[in-house]
Amino acid sequence: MSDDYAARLGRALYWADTDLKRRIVAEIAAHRSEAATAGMKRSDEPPGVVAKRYLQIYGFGIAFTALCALAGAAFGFLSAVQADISWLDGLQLLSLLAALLLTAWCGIAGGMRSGLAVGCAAAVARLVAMAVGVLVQGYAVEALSLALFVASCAMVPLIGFLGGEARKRWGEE
Amino acid sequence: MWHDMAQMGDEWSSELRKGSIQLCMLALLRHAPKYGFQILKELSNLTKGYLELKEGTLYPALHRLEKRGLLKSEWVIEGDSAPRKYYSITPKGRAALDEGLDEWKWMVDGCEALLEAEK
Repeated sequence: MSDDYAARLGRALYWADTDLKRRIVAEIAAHRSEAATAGMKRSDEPPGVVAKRYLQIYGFGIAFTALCALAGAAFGFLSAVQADISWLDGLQLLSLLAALLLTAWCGIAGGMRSGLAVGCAAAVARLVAMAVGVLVQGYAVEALSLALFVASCAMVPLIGFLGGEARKRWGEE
Repeated sequence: MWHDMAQMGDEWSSELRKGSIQLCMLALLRHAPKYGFQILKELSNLTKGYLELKEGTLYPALHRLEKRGLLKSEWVIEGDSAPRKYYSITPKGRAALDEGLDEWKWMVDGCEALLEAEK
């Protein structure tokens, strides 16, 4: 290929699994090569715009979803970590917000599967952080607070589910 | 005023194209498998330039039809030329095409009748 369009498209498909990325790039590269041979004008649409069209079809790949789930778990853990520091409340709140935003984004942009995976990872990490605080560090938690905490954990995957649903609805319109 | 009319024209064009691209793609593949570049050229030629798509629109549309089970694809190497990915219609795609053509005929007949009556 004489241009680097396919390579730039490959980079814009960062969310796709290797095999899908390879197939998409090979197809576009073959097309552009044939168009060049036939003396036809090739599209100069930004690769990011084209990649977005594929994203609407396929959603995030497994590897990118796993990466997001890892980030979601880190935010989830920090949102419920127990420690004797003055700015803990701020850290927990910001982390919870980050976990919720990440989960919603993954559901909307990457699909239901990604939204649920990231939401579940964040929720489990929150529960683990709380369990460590109570069982290992010996922090006391009232029954009502614990119930509210568990309910808040269940909310996170729900956000991922709703994001995935929104994506489906918007895609149908 | 002219600006508004031009904008309306763009809207008509965009909506009508959106509604007809998938149907035309399925129709184009009804009798024989074709590869992307060939589909792009034939879509443009046979529709007198109306459906002149960019490759960044064509291939995602083909992938969408394939993901819905209406098309299937395979890479083919012919002689010394570079490999080409051929798309062919599936039985599900054929059924969807028949349904779409009935709907299309109904729409065209109905709209033409209305336009004729209101001339």
